[in-house]
Amino acid sequence: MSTAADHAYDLYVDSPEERRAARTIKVFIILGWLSETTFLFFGMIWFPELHPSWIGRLIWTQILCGIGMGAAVGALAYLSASGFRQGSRAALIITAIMGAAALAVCNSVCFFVDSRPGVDYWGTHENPALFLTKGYAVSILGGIVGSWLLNTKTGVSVLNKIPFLR
Amino acid sequence: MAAQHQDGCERAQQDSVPALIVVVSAAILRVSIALGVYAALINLLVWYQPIMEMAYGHTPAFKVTYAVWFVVVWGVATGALTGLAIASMRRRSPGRLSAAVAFVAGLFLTSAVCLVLHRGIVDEKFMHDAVSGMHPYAVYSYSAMYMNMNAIGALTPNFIAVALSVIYAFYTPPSSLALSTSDNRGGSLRLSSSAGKSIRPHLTLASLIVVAISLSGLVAVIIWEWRQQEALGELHFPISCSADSRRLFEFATSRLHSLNFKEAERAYSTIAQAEPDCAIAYWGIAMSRLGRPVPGLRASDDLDAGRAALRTAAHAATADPRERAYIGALTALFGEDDAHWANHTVAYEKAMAALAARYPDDTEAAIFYALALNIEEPSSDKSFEKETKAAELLLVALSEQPRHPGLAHYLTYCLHHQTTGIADSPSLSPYRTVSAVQYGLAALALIGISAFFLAGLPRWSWVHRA
Repeated sequence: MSTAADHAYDLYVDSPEERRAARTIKVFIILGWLSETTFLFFGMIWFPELHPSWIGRLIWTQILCGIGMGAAVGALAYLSASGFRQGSRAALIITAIMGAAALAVCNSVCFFVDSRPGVDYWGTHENPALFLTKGYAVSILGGIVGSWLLNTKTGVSVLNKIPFLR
Repeated sequence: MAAQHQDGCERAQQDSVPALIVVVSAAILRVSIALGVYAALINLLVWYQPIMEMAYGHTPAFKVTYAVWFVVVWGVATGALTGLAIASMRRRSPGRLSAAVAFVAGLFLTSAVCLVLHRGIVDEKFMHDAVSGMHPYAVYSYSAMYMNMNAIGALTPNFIAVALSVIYAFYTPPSSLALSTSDNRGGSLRLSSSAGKSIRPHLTLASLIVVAISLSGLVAVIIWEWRQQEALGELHFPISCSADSRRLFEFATSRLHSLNFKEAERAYSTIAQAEPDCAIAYWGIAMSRLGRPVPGLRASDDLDAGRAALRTAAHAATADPRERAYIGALTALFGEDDAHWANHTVAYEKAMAALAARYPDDTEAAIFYALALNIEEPSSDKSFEKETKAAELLLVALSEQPRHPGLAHYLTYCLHHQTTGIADSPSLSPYRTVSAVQYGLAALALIGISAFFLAGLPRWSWVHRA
């Protein structure tokens, strides 16, 4: 015999709000992972002399920058937009701004850490303009694309076709 | 009557479904993130020095940004991943097996992110391998940084955060509680004193006080440590490079005297990067590679690194005769090969003796001469002439500079060495004691938050709130 608490739990299972939280984080994890993988791929092509170790580089870009940063940005985007109905103009704008801003902060932190004399882990001494330009461009793009996927009908229909994000 | 009450409660429960959805939708994620941020804050307070090392040399504004970034990656990211794993398992089943799987998944995801960041903070070689091949130290070999950041200790707050998040998500109050009215707010888990009153509010308040005290204590320790470091910076080592380099050089040399060789080398390298012609900066790099002022051949990679730095120093344009004398003396010690190390130390001692005699106003010359006497291989002479000479030099320097960062422990070494003949120097870093205090406060902060969380759990359980 089911109790009221069980009934409440059933509703929780299908709660769209719950899916929204998980979806936001997953979308930004995928976007973060895609951008880091792209950077890695083009970095390998353009600066092949800078990559003595594939394993270390893969670990850094895929786990910390890809999954870790994506999860953090997704969580911040969800928390900032959760007060607004999903699909509303406010949610669309706030998610885009928060996603882009968080990714841009990550880019800035990496740049300033690396630009200190004596560090130069990420090549900011050799190519500072390239580092900043590609980072901010992809940050803005990531925020906009993430928000579009989460808050527009077309975007949600795209997400519904992906099993991991359904 | 009872049936009517039950029916009324069920209706009330169904009416509260929208509220339930809102509460549940954000609750698991928010609690996981909040606990993750708390764990990150504790780590930031306990491991302040190694974590903030990456922001070294930057403005205070950037340091704040960097600290926030660390909390976001170490706390928000791990909390979000844990929340994601928990919510996913919770959707499948609310049972204990799901809770166990969610706990393991949360631990795995948290460990993966935190360990990568941890290696990035403490291991230069990993950073070199992971992200670039153009590190300025490329000619040197790498070792783990001299950073005291224990991985298990750093991950423990996050593991506790994962455990509490799982408890929160999978804890279901007894049905009597879910359907309760104000006459049974504590449920069957209610903690009661002998007088029948709930002690839960008192426990909650007490644990909050513990959390506040322990976090305040951690902040106080950081302030104390910072003041200690400021007080340890009193030395006078004029150089001929720019004013900025001069200031940083004195800081680097104070770290050298405090036996923080990695930090010293980093600061000397910073000068060399900013002002490549500043020859004495390369002397500092080589001195950092020399390590503790004790007898014995150094590791070959340290010697190679020192030789490379001194070769660069020889070609650097900015240096006065006194600085050239420092570089020349150290070049005699490093030599061109690892053979005849004992002869090198004798040559170094003689060169430093000449330098100290030529520049009697240079206190640092006398101190480094005393250390050169210590580096020399101990002789069979039981009169301890060299050790006595070193102790005399250091005592004179101490009388002139009582707040010098290195003199106290150099003297301890000299006097200890005379009586026992043990060739080892004490590491008198004040941070060891502080770390023990920090560990204790961090443990207290974790116990406090756990007690607070568990004491309040039935009250803020989502079913109960709905």
